[in-house]
Amino acid sequence: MDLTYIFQQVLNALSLGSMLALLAVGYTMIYGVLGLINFAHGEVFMIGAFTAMYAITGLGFPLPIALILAIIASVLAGVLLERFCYRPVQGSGDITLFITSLAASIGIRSLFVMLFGSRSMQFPMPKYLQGIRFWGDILITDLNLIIFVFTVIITLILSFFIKNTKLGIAMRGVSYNKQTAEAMGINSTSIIVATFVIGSALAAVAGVAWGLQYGNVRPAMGYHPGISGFIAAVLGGIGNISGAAISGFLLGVGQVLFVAFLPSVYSGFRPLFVWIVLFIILFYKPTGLFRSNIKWE
Amino acid sequence: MAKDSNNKNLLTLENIESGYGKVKVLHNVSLKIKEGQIVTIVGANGVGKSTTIKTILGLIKPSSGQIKFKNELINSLETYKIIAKGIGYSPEGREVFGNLNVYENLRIGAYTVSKDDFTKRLEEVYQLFPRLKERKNQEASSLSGGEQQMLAIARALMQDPDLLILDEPSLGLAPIIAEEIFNRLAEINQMGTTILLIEQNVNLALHLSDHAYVMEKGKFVLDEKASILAQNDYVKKTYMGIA
Amino acid sequence: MKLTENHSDNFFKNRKKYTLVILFIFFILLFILSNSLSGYYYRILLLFGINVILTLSLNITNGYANIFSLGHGGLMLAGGYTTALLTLPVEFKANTLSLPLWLEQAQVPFIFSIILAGIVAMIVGLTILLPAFRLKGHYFILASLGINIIMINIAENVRPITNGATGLRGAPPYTNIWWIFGIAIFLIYLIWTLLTARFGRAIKAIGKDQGLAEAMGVNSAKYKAYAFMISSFFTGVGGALWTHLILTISPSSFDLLVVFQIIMMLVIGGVSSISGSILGAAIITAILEILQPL
Repeated sequence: MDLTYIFQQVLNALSLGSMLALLAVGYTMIYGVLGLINFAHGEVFMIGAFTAMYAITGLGFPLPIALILAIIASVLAGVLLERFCYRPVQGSGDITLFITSLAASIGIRSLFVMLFGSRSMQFPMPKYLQGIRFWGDILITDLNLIIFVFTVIITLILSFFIKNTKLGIAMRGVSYNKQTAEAMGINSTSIIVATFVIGSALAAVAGVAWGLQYGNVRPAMGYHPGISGFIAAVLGGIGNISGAAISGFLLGVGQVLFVAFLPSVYSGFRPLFVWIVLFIILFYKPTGLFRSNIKWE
Repeated sequence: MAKDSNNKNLLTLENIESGYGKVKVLHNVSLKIKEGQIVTIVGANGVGKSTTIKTILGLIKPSSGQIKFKNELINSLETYKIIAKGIGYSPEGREVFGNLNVYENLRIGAYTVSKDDFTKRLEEVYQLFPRLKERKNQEASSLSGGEQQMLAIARALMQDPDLLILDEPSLGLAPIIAEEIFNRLAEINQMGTTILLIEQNVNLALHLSDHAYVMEKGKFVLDEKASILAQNDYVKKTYMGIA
Repeated sequence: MKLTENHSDNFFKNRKKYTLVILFIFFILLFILSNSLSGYYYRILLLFGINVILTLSLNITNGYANIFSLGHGGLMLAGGYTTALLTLPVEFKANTLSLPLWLEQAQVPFIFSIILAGIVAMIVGLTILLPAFRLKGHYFILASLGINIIMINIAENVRPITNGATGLRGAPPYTNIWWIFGIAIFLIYLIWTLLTARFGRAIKAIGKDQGLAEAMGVNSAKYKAYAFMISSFFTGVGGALWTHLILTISPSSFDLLVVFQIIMMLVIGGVSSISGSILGAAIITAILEILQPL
């Protein structure tokens, strides 16, 4: 088990880490303003991937346009979820919120199974992303590199936006205390919608990246990445954008390394890794790795 | 202290009934605030003072009665729209955004205001509370109680409101700091901002105010000039601890 | 004080008498139903009974003790696989699995296999959840979801014992109306007795306001652990009964969807109520059957 091997595995994991980072950032923002685990976030991610797949194979659009359509579809899904699932039950207690969120997730997934069947469908990859390059003994795919760079740029822009713009400050204010934010003249409903728009757009990007990286999409594809994304959000400290992104990367890379060091019979245990990490970390630090950005009761 | 009693009404409440769900807290409450005044609502814990304010701000909707601000009915508006009409609010317990720094708290206070007006206003507010300028990059949760109260007031002043509503600004503060805050309030009023104050420190409040209401069990039982109320035997005995 | 105690004693004596009468009528009714219902409706009745057991078990944690768990699917899985491994035909076990000899040869009577199923579920629940008890609110819910995912993942990957994603086939059809409703009635009786005892008062106090209960000297961690143990034991038993009804189980039989259905049963009938759990189980069982063709 030499260093080259480890480094190679880390590079292989960059795209998975990126996807989890994008999902985690969306999760952390939505959880922040709404105080709700949006289980359907994984389905918003899946909708983005399906839209891009259909735009490319069904309508013959090039990838960039498919990506834009995917973002539009996911944002629409996110906004509809907020409007028709979460807004009506706001303030009616944790259990109701949980059930609503679970129901939305299961409902959307079942709908897609009914429409497309539960099998995997191929996601085509354009030629210009298929390149690979060598650094000495280490191999890296262009796709891996592009997804990673893209994610880093998006996260940096978003962090800047949240830190410095009026809307970003208002989002943090609503996360901290919705009622007081309203009493400062902020329309918290529109802030929540804006948060869903951003979070869903990120999920769409992650979904398209997933399709490109693994070459297929299916209705249940959002379940495990969605939950891993939420775990990354928890570890990163809820409401903390860079914390979520970094935790997402670490979980993605960790998952791949975890499997890389085990005999191949155990490769199916990959999803367990995030849970082991979650239990260990929460056991020692029940509020997450990084500082949380909202008032925690 | 005598302010022109011919001034226009800035805020009026007429026969307000309000409460939480089925529990009625306010019964037939009427109140008038004229432009330029400082008006205080005095009363013990739990008699409905904060409910009155939350009703004015639309955080609770009144079940009957009228609330007019600048002669405009505001009963059914959402909170953020009421605030945008020119009301600044410093909530009970200060409720500063602990995860934001001082500057960002003030930025949120100026949410309804354009960027240019914000920069101008920021300087004015920093002048009023120089301590906040010193600590502008510090997180609000790390401030002392008095500084947090100043921040809450400064935040409420950011949009240059016509009416400033303060809920228990002296709560939990050392007497000397409470006095400093009240001196600031007098300054703010002299610059032309009307103030509605809720206060348990009756002595301090009546000294500052033009007019005062005494609230008991969800009703106003006394409604007088502050200077007259300060001499009232009942008020002295019940609220100021003077036999 | 004395007066009211006597009064309540009388009340309970009468109540006991009525309960016995009702039970007697109920068992006669079951006897008639078991002989008159056609296969399809009989099966629905059995499903309903199992759902009552599962919902009541979930009610102990998610209802009375206010520990919101999404992990009961994993506990059902533990129960289901335990009883299957203990009762599957030796031939199947020898051909498809590679088990230690004693387990391969094991043909345990039904009553012991469901008790063992409950115990294994209880151990699984405690191992995973005890460390999670210090987590608050949503973090705990997240950790409990972990039980589900971890158990399914293990069942999918430890092929020599679980046969992977294909699952186990051919569990003997031991489940019948008497087992199910006998256990259901025992569980109702147990919850009822516990609720009126010290345990019930403690658990309800913790459910309402844990901080206050602790300030009154209730050891909340202990009682929550007890509540979780009872709940996971009967969830495991429910999973076992279900296994001997549907006869083929695979890891995905116990996924989040199953938990969600039980939560719906719990919520529709009203949380923290025995009759509510029974009603909810009836409604959701019926709805699921009607929706089956879709």
